[in-house]
Amino acid sequence: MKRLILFMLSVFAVYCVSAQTGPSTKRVFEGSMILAQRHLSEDGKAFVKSFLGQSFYEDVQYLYYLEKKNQASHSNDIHFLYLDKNFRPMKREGDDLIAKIEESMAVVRDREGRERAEVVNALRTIINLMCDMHNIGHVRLESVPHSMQDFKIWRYSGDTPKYNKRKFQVEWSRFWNVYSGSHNGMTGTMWADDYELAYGAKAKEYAAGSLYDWAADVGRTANEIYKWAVPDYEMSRIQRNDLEDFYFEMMAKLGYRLATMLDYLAQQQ
Amino acid sequence: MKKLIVLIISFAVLSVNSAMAWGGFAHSAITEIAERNLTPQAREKIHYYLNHSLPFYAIWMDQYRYTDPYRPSGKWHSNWMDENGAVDVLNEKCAAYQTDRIWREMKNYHKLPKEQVRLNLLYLIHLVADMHCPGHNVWPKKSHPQYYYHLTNNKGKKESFHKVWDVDAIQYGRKKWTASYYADKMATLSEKEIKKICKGNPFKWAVTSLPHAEQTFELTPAGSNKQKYSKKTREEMRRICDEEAVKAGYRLAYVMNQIFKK
Repeated sequence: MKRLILFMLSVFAVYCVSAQTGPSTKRVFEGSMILAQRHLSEDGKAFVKSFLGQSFYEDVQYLYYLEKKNQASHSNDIHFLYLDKNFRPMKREGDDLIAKIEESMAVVRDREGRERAEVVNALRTIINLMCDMHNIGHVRLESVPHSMQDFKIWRYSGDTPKYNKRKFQVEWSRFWNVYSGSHNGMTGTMWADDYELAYGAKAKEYAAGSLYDWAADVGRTANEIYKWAVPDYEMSRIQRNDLEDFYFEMMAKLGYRLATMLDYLAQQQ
Repeated sequence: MKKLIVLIISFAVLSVNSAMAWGGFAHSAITEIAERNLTPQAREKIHYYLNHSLPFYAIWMDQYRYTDPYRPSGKWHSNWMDENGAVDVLNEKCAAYQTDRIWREMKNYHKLPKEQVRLNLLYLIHLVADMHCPGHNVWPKKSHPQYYYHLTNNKGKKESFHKVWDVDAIQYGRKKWTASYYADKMATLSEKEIKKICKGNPFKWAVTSLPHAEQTFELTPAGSNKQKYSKKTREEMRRICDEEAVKAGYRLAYVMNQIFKK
């Protein structure tokens, strides 16, 4: 019976984590998807519509959905961006985010004669992995040994001894969800409007380059962050606040880059 | 043992529900209403000072109230009453006082440093919303000790009166509502009605909200079990919150539009 109780408590713990980070984080990514859709060319819109329907907001968690249903043939590694010392994709043996995106791009490019379901699967995979790629908690750098696996940091609720009594331990890969959680009233459309307003002037700059350039950009940013983000790091409330804008800038980059990627794939036939 | 398992499951469900509920919903909804009612001129000027949309900054004051140099603003989130039960127009802690002060200061916004204008806007976005929350009114302990009291739950444990009015009341029966949907459904006033509710100043607005604030004490008396409120009570609580939230949204837009009229 003790085992049963322990099991139920474990299930509860997992449920709590997913419930706290799920809906609001999903809406933040949904904002990026709406932004991408708005920035697609007419051809791109027609192409996406023909394979994914009116929207692809649900596809941000496509691979996680497969994993949950035990229908995935990949490991958790696929959600992480591995970069070498020069911020080039490491393309490791086994599951690798960039390798999987490239493999999926090849399927979409050579879509003629393929099963429709195969192309849809590839597009959904690209969308999910582009989202993962822009989450700093999912970046692993060869030059930063501690980044090669998940670690835990501490986050304080305030910056005084009184408020520092409350501190939370959180896995690095989940830390960034704190920002979506604190804006839990925002919808995907509101986020898309906000990204456009705050970062629209830089849209071309963000979208320029190739998949490797985008990965390197994310990698360089992560490299700066890993200088202080180490296991058991204690993050102050001030630092937490200061990082907020950076997190949402990554979400805007994701939107503009995904539009570029899908437009490119639409043109390939 | 079965009882223990049932207890664990109940605890799990209740804990998750309370963790998901947050004042962010009402703040987002109010700022979304305001955002939709900005003049193009005000929107352009606001964007010059703030990078993001109004809803993005809806809870900025809550996020920064525990850090320097914003710590003093942590005391501005409620309306304070004087010994006679009137809105204390001289109390610097009063949300209406600060809203009025900042609004006056912003009449010459073009002469203020950019950073000061930005900070003032961030304060207004939150304060105009907070001063309309029925649970954000503080009377002297002698006349109205209620603000300091607690409610209870089925287990007899203390529950926050403040949280019930800040979070639970407006979201009753609306688990799937988003801030956009709220604005679609609730912010449907005519030009004439909007003009009427925006008439006056923050102090007058605070005074017109007082009957609702008084009603909170009747609807949720000290020590009452919040889990046993009737459907009628909950609907009345929600109606009060809706009325105040919608007024807050239009008034926030009005304040911004007036500031950036010139």
